[in-house]
Amino acid sequence: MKDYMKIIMAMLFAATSILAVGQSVVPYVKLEQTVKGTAYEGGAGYDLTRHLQVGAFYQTRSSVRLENSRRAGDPFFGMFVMAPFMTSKRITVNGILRSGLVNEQFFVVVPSIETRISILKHTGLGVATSYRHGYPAASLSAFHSIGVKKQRRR
Amino acid sequence: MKRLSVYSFALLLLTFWGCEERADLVRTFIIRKGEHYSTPRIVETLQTNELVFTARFNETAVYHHTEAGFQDSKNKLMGFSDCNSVHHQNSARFGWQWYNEQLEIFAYCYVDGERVEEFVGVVELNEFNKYTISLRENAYVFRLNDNPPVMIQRGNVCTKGVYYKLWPYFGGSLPAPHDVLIEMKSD
Repeated sequence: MKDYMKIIMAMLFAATSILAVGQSVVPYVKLEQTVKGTAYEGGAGYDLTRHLQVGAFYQTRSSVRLENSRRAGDPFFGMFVMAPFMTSKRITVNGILRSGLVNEQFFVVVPSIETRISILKHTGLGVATSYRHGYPAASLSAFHSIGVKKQRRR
Repeated sequence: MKRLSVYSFALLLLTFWGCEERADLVRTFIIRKGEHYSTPRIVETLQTNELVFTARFNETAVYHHTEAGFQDSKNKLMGFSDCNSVHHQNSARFGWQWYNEQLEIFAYCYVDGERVEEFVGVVELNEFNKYTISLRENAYVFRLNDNPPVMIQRGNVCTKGVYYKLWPYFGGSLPAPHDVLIEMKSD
């Protein structure tokens, strides 16, 4: 548990630092449906450039039922990289690569393709498909951009 | 537009998460005549310290090699490579062979490059059987249904890293003499 606190503190520190220099942070929440059940994820990304976002995430499921007991829901935390394939005014199609440790032991890489739709100026929803546990998975997310984006010439 | 998006999102949410039941997916692996590797080819890594699956063999698991000396070569069912190792260095798998007119199941491991095999049990054709490999700190524990567990010492490996899964493979040295079908379901 102490490790998780360190990660959260590091993420908060990073977010504060980023906001202090006028960049934007994009926190999100996500529900991911896999063959093993529904997973809940929270994380935050940072717009490194206009075409690249990096961030950290934490995902878990409700506890897993075993034959005679239950165990914690396979916590999965790590970093992600996100880059857009296509962009329009309201819709962006992104490629996402999440990598990290499951159960603090097993290194996992998860590729995804996500479509993000902006609903309000800084808020939007995402629909994604991923490859988890050897099968396709589907997810829904909500994100909100915090901070000031640098004005860029088009 | 905003309202439409919210409604669409809510509809998707209901569509995807209306049913919370876990998927119950059976995969059929085929090893074609003359081949070693099975299809479909899958890339997947272990994510817990226990690999649990059920598998069912049928009559295609019966074979008689013309050279009898190859009859006790172990075919591989499923398992995983150990932490950041290639599977000929450190791995744990269930193996199988058609021998003495029965389907015999083995624990089949590589421990620091040395091959270790140990008999686990016998299964019937056309029945699903439960296989478990538990990853302990110093050992692999193999269980077949309610048979007594078989323990094999683990090699010198790391604790955090990639543990890639290993799928059905025919051989040994000789390839499949005819198409072999194995149905498998991950737990």
